[in-house]
Amino acid sequence: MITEKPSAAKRIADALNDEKSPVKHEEYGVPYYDIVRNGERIRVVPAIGHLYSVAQEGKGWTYPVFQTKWVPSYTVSKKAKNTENFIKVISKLAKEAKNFVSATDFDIEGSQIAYCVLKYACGEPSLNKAHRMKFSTLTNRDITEAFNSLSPTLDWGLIEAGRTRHEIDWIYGINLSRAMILSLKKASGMYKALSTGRVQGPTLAFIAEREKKIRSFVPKPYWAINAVALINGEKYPLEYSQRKIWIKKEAETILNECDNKSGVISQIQTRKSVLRPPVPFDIGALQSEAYSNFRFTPSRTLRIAERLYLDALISYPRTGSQKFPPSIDTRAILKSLSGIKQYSEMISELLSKEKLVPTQGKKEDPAHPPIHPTGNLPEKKLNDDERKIFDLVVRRFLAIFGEPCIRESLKIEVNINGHLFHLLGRRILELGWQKYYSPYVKSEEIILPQLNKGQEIKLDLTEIIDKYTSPPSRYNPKSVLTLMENQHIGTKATRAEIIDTLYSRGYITGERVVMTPLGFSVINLLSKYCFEVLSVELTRELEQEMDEIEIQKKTRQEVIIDAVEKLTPILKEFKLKEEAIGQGLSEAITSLRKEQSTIGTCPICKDGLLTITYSRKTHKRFIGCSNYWTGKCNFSVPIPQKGNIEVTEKNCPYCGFPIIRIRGVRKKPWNMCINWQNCPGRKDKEVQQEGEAQ
Amino acid sequence: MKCPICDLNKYEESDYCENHQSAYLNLKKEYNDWKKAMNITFQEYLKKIIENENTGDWAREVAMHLLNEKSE
Repeated sequence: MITEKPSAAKRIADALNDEKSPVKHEEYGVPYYDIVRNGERIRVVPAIGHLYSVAQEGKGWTYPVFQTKWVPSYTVSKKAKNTENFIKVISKLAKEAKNFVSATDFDIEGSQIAYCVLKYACGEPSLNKAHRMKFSTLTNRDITEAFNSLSPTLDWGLIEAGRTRHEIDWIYGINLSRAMILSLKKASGMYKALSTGRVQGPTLAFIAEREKKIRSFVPKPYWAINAVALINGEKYPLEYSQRKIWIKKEAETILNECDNKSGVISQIQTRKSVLRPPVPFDIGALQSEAYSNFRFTPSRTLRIAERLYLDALISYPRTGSQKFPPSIDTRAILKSLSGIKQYSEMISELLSKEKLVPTQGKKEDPAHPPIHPTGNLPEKKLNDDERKIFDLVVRRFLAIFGEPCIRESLKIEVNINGHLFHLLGRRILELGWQKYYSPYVKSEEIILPQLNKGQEIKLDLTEIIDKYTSPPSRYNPKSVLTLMENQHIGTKATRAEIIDTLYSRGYITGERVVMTPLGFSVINLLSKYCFEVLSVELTRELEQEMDEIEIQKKTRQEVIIDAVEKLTPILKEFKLKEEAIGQGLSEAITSLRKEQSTIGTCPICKDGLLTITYSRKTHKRFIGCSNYWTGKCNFSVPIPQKGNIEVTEKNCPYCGFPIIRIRGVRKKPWNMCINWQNCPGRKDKEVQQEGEAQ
Repeated sequence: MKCPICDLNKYEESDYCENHQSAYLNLKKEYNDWKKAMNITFQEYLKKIIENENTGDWAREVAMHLLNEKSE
């Protein structure tokens, strides 16, 4: 039995074993388990994600390359070094097996992982002796049920779709990235890791389009009139009925006519609104909510959710479903969760309902239900990140069974010398589902005193405020993810990773996404010389074709041939324009490197520029003042050697030195005062932490 | 021919590169609204645009370029 990860192997072995506890073995650091089920001996062996990858058939670092083969991942990537031992152990153990079970996650990636392990590590004949186990949570109940209803064959639709996706993405990614890198090398002799791909290109093009709008934006002036009402000694803000006045003179006239006057209530309008409970979480909605509440990037949320899934605390997170199938015993899950003190009161309230009907969203995913707690309680103490995501998933689960929230809005019209102002109030009549989801919903109440029609309202202040229209807002990791979902590009499993790649390549920077000169250059060059690569339609068509493989409407061969036919003319055109493309990239990289290495003006000599410099002796990077070369200033400071360094344009509140941001791969970005060695803020924090520890 | 602001190639028949040309067109278009709203001259308008924090970088660069051109 092959599982996707070692922790899943342990859970499955524990759940299926008829005897006391599974017998654990370990070879070359790879754990596996022997169990007995219904008198049969089963060996549960884990993979560690993808053990095999697509690679080039034949030699040569050039393009176009369309011939691919599958090879052990450790032979093509240093990061996959640990996969070697897993392949070694699985190959050895497979020789003793009569039958095989694919017990990886039930989706394209999981099916693909098991297929490769069976085909290449266990030998091709194993494919015909393999069954498929399908489950959405790693709870004992789900695992046992899945084992009792094994599919007699592998899920070929998913496998073929998975193979195709990997091969097409490889063909697009390798060819286009090599084309860019080689054109850069040809034009300037320079090397830089550059990439684009089937999904990366269109995503970057969307960001570029927004950036262009922001950078060309010209604000328009307008004026707003604010007034403050004085009621029973309390102050309440009044809004002028016309929010934007586009001509200054008109605003001044209104102000003159209202100044030093009192108003009369001419109308009172109340409106009740019903806020239905939210729909269950699919992966996109969870990532979005985690970003809004905790500022977790989509990839970070996915990693945490996967850990919680492997601990059998939540269901499989890579789901697109917002609909609960009736087979899930939601009442039993709630009962079980009531063992957690902080939820017990809310749950007993829900359980007292005769019928528990969850809200359902529009999206469906036949493979998995929406993300929900399994009902298992944490066996170990969750870390901070896990606790936050677990709480979010549990509260959302409670909220979907809640009653609607009823809100009352109050709009009081105040007539001041013929001009209408509004006094707005808001209160919640029935909290409903918000009671369960309260930390994650923001709804401020504005309670107004009792007021009557015809009542006189005294004014405390009337004023004109100069305002300007704003540019479109910048994307953030969450809104890029939503954009990709809405445009149907990428998959729920790959979107977060693609956003990370755009950062690591240096195409975009900052939490409020800003295009770098390199990002612009890549987009401008691609749109000039091979705009098809940036086309959403092209990638959408391919996605659709891959979906059709899943339902066996198209074959892998057909789709790959089609993709190659689309890519070939693009690459031909690229080759013809290599010189010009390389020149453009080289200019952008030089400008990017200059921009990235300049931190700001030196706070010591107030004259030189602080730049990131590399030591000739140690090759380590540090920040130094440009006046060092003239002998005027010798300020220098060590900085972390790993991660991309971003200039924040912020200064330290303690010492005024610039603050830089370090963005490591798969790590949360963090800010650092460059004067960290002497900054009084650091000492303050140390004292504070010491106090907290005590 | 190069864009006088950023040294990129000029866009078709225009005086600027593609990016600065789009900002220039925006600047010209919005002046009518500013004039109607505040009754100001083009030069005063450019100054206000340069100072405004909502102005995009390219639009600000074009405004600065136009203002310098006038004063020269």
